[in-house]
Formats: sequence, C-alpha cells, structure tokens
Amino acid sequence: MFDLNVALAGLSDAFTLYNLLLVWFGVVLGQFVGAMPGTGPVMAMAIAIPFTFTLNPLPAIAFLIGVNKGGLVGGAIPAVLINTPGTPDAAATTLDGYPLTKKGKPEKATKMALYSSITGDAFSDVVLFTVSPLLAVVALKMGPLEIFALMVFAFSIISGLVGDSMAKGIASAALGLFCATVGLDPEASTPRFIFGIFELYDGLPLVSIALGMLAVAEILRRLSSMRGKITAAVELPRTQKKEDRRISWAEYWSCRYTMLRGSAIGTILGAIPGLDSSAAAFMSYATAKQTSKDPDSFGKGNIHGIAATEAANSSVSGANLIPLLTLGLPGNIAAALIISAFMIHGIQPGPLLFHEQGQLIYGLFGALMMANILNLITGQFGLRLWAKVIKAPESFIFSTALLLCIVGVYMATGGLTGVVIMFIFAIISYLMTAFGYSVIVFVIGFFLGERFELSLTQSLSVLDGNYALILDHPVALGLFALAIASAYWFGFRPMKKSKGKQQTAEETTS
Amino acid sequence: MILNRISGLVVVALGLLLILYIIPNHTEIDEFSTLAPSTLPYITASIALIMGLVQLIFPSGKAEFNPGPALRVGFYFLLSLAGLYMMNLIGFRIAAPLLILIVMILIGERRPLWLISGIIVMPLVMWYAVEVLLNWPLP
Repeated sequence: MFDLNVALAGLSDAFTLYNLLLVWFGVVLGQFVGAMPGTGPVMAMAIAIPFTFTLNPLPAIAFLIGVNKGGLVGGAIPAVLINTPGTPDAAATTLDGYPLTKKGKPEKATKMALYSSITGDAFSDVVLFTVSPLLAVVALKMGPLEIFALMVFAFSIISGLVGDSMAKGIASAALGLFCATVGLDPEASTPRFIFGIFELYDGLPLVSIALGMLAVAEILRRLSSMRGKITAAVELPRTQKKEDRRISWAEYWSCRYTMLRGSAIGTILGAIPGLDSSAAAFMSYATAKQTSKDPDSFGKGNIHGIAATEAANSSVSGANLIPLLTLGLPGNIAAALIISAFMIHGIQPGPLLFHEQGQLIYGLFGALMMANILNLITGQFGLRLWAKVIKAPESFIFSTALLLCIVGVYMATGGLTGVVIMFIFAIISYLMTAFGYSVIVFVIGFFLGERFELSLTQSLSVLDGNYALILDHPVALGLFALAIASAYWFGFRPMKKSKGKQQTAEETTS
Repeated sequence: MILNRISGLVVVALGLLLILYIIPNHTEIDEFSTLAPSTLPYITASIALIMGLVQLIFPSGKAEFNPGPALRVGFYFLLSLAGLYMMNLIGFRIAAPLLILIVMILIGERRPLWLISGIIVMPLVMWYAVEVLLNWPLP
C-alpha cells in the first residue's frame, strides 16, 4: 500500500546536491550525445552503465534517466537543423522542424522542440507517479505461476519488435534466451556452458552483452564506413529577428491541445511494452494534421507539427517505466538498459520492487522531476552550443567511444574476459543486423531469460505434475490469453498487413 | 532471398551444434531438479533450429550483407582485440593511446588538434578518472 513516509523519505533522498549534479551531468551528456547524429541516448546509456557501477543505486539510475531524457531533447536538434534525426525517435520532427529552419528560423524550431518535449515528458511522469503504485499493489498479489505467465506475456509482446520476419524474430528471442542459460542453473546450481572459463559461472556479463550489441557494433560499423573527416553540416544564421529566435507564450499556448494529445498518445503507447516512440511521434503528427484547421501548412514549418511529434516521443520515456517498475518488463531498449542497471546494483525490477525498494522508487520519481527541470534549463541555454556539437568529427567521437566501452566493461567485469565477450557479441550483433535478425529482441530475450527460467522452475514445483491446478489461477490464465492475443495483435497481424500491402504493390506494378 | 536462406542454414547449423554437441557435453544431469539444467537450453535451441528451417524453406525479411564493409568491421574487430592484448601486455597507459592513434589515422583523421585530443587527452582523462579518482585499477 502507499506509504507517505516512504515516499517522502525517497524524495528527500533524491533532492541532494550530489544527485542534482549527477542528473544534470546525465542530462548534459544525453543532450550532447543526442545531438550527434548516429549516436543517441541508447549508446550513451550503454557506455555509462559500467561507470555507474561505483555509485549507489539511486544516483546511478537517476544519472541514466538524465542521459535518456537529455538524449530525447538532443535528438531533435540535428533533426531540426540538418534534417538528420540524432535519434530514431526524432525522425518525425524533421517533417516540420527542417522546413522551419530553411525559413531562417532554426532557433524557433529547436525551442519549440525543447518546450514540447519537456511538456510531454512531464505529462507522462505524472501518469507514472499516479498509476504505477496502484499497479504495483495488484502485481504484488502474483505468485510464481502468474509471474511465469507474465514472462510469457512479455515474450509475446516483444513479437511486435521482430520486424518483417517472424521466423527471424523468434530465432533471435530463442538465442537470447539460450545465452541467458550460460552459468549456474537456478535450481541445482550446476554449471552450464562454462568452457573452462571461471568468469562464466555468473553467466554472460550483462554489461558486455548490452555494450557489445548496442554500442560497440554500431561503433565498428561507423568506423568501417569512414573515409576522411567531417565538415560542418550547418551554420546558425547570426542575424535572426528577435521573434524568430524564441517561442512566445501565445505560440506555446496555441499548441496546448496538440501537445496534450501527443502526450496522451505517447503515454498510452509507451506504457505498452514493445512499441517505440517513433510510432507515437508519427501517430501524433498524423492526428495533429487531421484535426488542424490548416492541414496544408504541415510539412512546411508549422510549429504544431514539431509540438505534436516531440510531445509524443518524449512522453514515451516516462510511460516506459510503468511496466518496468511494476512488472519488470522492459518496454524498449532504453528501459532494458535501465533494467540491467537495476540488476547490476542487485535490485530485481518487478512486482516486489515497490514493496522492497519503495524508498528507491520514490527517489527515482524525484530524480525524474529534477531531470525534467534540468533538461529545460540546459536546453534553454545549450541549444546553440549543441548545434556546434554537430561539427565534432566522427573520427574523434567514435574512437573515444570505443575506448570508453573497453574501460567501462573492464571496470564492471573486473577483467579483460568481459571485454572480449563484448567484442564477440558486437560481431554477432553486426551479423544479425546485416541478415535482418532483431538485436533488440535478442537483448530483451537475454535480459528476461534468467527470470523466465526461475519462474518456470517455481511454477513446475507449484503444479507438481498436476497441470489442472492451473485452473485455480485465473490471473495466470488471463495473462496466457493476453499473451496469445498480443502475439497475434503485435506479431502476426502487422506482418499479414505488410504482406498484403506488398502483394497489392506488386500487382499494381505488374 | 539467397542471403535469407544462408542465414536460415547458419541458424540450423547452430541449432544442430547446440543440440547434438554443446548441450549434452556442457550441462550436468541432476535427477532431483524439477527442471533439468539442460531443458531450457534444449527448448531454445530447438526453437532456433525450427525457425532456421522455416527461414531456409520460406525465406522472408530483409537481408543486406556487403562483404567489403563486413571485412572492414572484421579488421577493426581484430585491431581492437590486438589492442586488448597489448593492454594486457604493456598496460593501458601505452596501449590505449596507440590503439586510438591507429584507429584515427586509419579513418583518415590528420588534424593535429583532434589527433592530440583523441590520443593524449581522452586516454589521460579516462586513466585519471578511473585509476586516480575512482581508485579502480586499469590493465
């Protein structure tokens, strides 16, 4: 149940100068990395995780949340200025952001992106604060069988991330799950797939997998494609009218319904694991255009277009934490990385989290609030600076990032074995991407694997061979039914639709 | 289409390798377990094998594999492993700047300021932050 003392204690834990500085550093780092096309907050978070190893759980996770939130704001900057989204989430922002820049109003465009991003983010955080404690109370009543059903439900939901081939997606999830079985088995503690390497007794290191598959693979790919140095992609015009350099209150207020609608769309989609923020941004943009009195102005530098996309994509980040904190389900790759940070600090996200670590969770809520305010302040003063970041050469950024990954994993795993594993998984990730196998599904499968096996073992013990006993667990049955429905809804249905579209296109061309 | 079939074949081969050799030889038998240590590995490997077969027979999805970039990725992978070996041999303070120097030169960076930033400043900052401030030993 809700305990005010715990909530206040958690919030007081969060509001310290030390945490404030860490969150601010995270926001600055996130905005900086987000502004670099091709990098993004996921890479920054993956690299930062091992460095948070030496911190306490609250500052560590608060810092990562700062990076994630900062990255969402930063990603809009290159989308607006050079028509290249810094992160995939900001792809829809280019639709109206870049045309506004071409009209000679780059600062107006970036500021609209900043304000609507903060608005959407704050909206979803409020929903998170109010909904997740209630959901956690329900989640607490779940036994091993319900948890297992929840795991099956989680796997069915990630079918929405498999891409255009169900066979490849399922194979990716299965192999991710297989990799999670390396190490001691949860019941008898017998070693599996150790190959004489004693470091593997604890399983494959989470940080090695996360960094290798998400960061190092991308770094190697970028290094291999570089042939020289980067030149400045954009110059901000020095002489802009005052009204073109800012967003007036009247302009902001005129976008209130657009932002509210976008935030609601982003929050709802973000709370459903498996759906990404770019889907929310495009959906919000389409709705804003349909409901606008002047739909023709969209795509030509309408600030409502920027407001719709940025409010939606930023509201996904807070909403993603709802399934993560209450059920232990990572909604997207950023949430999966936050889960790994929890696990590195010995905390298991899931139904018991509010009960066992209530103070930490409310501290986290405090950190989320701080991150929003700091995001606004940093963005307000840093936009011109981040625009210059786009000029930094990739040769410097990626070679330094490579070294950071090596140092980070060395620190987290305490030796070079973890670093070698990181590089091996980077190559696996590169090959998987080249052949169209979903790396995200693999990583989420790996993260969920350990809990999946444990809950399966416990469920089998509870049933003790009498499988009819499952009928006494209506919640588990409901979750299994939901799993079947969501596998169809997120996995098979979109695939059928895209096949249908493909056939129609082929028929039209022939 | 061919690439999709090849990837299916690789997954089938991997599944067979896991089921026929790796799982039986690298898991132990525990008679008292509710769930044998090898059960989940067998299930996941079998699923991968079946999906590989599906991909082999009914190829689907996008696949784009260019040998040129892949070879360059392989080269940077080997270079990084060589860098790790050197770090183990002669230590981070010498091997890290050397690795960064080679990487930056290979990708075409020639500007002295950026080279100095990458080769000297960043490894120094990392070394100072980790070894001196965090008191965490580097190789």
